[in-house]
Amino acid sequence: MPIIVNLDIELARRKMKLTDLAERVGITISNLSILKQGKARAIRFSTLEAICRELNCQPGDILAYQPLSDDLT
Amino acid sequence: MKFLQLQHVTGFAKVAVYLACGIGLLGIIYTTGSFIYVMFRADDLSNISVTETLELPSLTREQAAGPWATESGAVRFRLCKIYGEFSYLNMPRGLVFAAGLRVLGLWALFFLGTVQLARILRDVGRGKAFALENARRLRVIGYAMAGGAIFKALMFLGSVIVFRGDIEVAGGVIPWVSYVQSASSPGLLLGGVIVIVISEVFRLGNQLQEEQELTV
Repeated sequence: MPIIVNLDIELARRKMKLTDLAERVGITISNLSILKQGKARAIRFSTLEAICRELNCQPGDILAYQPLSDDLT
Repeated sequence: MKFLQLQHVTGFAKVAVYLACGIGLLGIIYTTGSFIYVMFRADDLSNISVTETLELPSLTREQAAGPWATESGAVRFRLCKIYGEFSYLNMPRGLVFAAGLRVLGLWALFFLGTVQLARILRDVGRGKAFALENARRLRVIGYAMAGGAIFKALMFLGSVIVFRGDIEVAGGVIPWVSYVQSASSPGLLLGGVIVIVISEVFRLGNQLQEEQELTV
């Protein structure tokens, strides 16, 4: 998928565990793990807001767009 | 039996499925047993229970010379119901075999459908109502229903064509409309088509559920 999730990078910078973030954000560890692994199909604004609030970052720090090689041509 | 471990489904549905599976199994056992019995007794004129009689006064005197003659000279063909279909007392074994095969096939399809239904209800109880497997099971049920209607019609009409000489007697021809009415099951055919359409709805439901589950 062209949307890359850099959640693990932001967690490592803040030395925070996935379980702690899940508890603070209010979603299950399995759901957050799905997001971290890039398997999520969609993310709610409320979830994105909660993550940015807890990590004190911008949405662009967590999400990045990397076009596929076919899209460049 | 593991497939009958239904949990968290409504009581009525559970009772209905258990009952349907049991009826299907009993139907297969009874049909098999009675089919074997009738195959051995099909040519026996002495000990067949008569459920209905049909007077055919227009039959020729040659026919009246047989063992079924009455005092008035008219020939009375005693018809007995085998598997719900009219037949003659000395019914040819081939026709009995065809009728038995038809009924056994229909009961087998019924049992197959109820087993698939029980597995669907099991998944519903586990919160997996829109699993892709359930769409496939519904498709199987739909094909069993529609296929059963087509199978019944083909077997019945085929039997009539093959054994026409044993069924129709001079002066006592059964109207062809009766054959068509006995062979057709429009409700079963339509029901099967409806269930197949519903299976497509379940397949779409599976896609929507997957989207929902992967939305964080």
